[in-house]
Amino acid sequence: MKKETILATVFGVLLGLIVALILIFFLRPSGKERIEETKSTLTPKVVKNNIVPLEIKEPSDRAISDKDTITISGTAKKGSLIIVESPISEEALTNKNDSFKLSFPLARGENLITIRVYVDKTQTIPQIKTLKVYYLNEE
Amino acid sequence: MKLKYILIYIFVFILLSSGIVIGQSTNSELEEIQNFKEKLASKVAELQKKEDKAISGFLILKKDKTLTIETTDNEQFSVELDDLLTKYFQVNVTALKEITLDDFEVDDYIIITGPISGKVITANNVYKDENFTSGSGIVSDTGQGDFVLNVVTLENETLTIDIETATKRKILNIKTLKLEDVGFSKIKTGDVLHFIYKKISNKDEKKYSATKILVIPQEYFSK
Repeated sequence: MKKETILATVFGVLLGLIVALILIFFLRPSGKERIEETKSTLTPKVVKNNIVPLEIKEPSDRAISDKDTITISGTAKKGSLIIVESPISEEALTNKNDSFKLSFPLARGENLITIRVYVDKTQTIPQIKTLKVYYLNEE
Repeated sequence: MKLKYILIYIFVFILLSSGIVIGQSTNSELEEIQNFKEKLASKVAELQKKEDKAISGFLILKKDKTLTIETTDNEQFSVELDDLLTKYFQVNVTALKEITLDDFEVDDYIIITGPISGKVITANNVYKDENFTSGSGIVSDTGQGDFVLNVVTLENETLTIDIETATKRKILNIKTLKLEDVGFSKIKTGDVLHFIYKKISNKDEKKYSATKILVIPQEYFSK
């Protein structure tokens, strides 16, 4: 092997070692700093959530009713437009509080009741809940 | 001799009185049993009612004493029928009409009540009804005077909604927020449309005849 080649190899290895030492001891954060960094990222931040999802308290889906009228109640964002529809009836109301309650008629058999909530006037996509309620009295 | 008569008298008296006592206790026991039976029957009926759930879907298979239904969410349930206990009805607006198992055909929309265990329902009652489905979207085209609305749904599907003479039409009055009747000509491209239609099988189509529509004018959203 030529003398120049050996020199170049040794010089290259030395240079690599120097770069590695600089990275390890000068540029890498110390153990303490790393622990502090980890601690700081673990601190949870409380984000205020203004989204009120549509929830139906009653009736439950697939409920069987003895009467031809039921009470629909639930929660939705205050001030939202609530539209309740079935093949035989429809109601529109503005939610004055966080909760709503209304009386709704049933037809004999299966009643598909769709509740749509438009939370604000900038969104044409509503929150939707669909219920099937059965009124199966013989008389 | 006197003693003999006295003894016979005492024996007959004891026999008769014990008979009365036995008879009385039997009657009261029977009454108690009857009451217990009635209470038990009412409790069973009450529990059965509590346990009864309803499920509905399209009839996809009818075989001997078992029906298979597919719900609108594409779940399949097996319906077990009993010759003596299961009753069959047709749902009419005014009342339920009793029918037989022979009146049911594939693609009928049926409601079953009874205890449900996993994917098996033990049917107490089976009802033949109609399926209604609802949807909503934005009107993309009001047709060329042929009473047809093209709607882009929330699932980004384009459906054609036929507006028939019998279709109930409602619109939201954006000032009063009350629902009012509306003519077809008032519906515009960009309005939000809620629609309800009858499905005759569990297959999805691209065109439906609306039973009912409800319009929310686009002006409500741009206010």
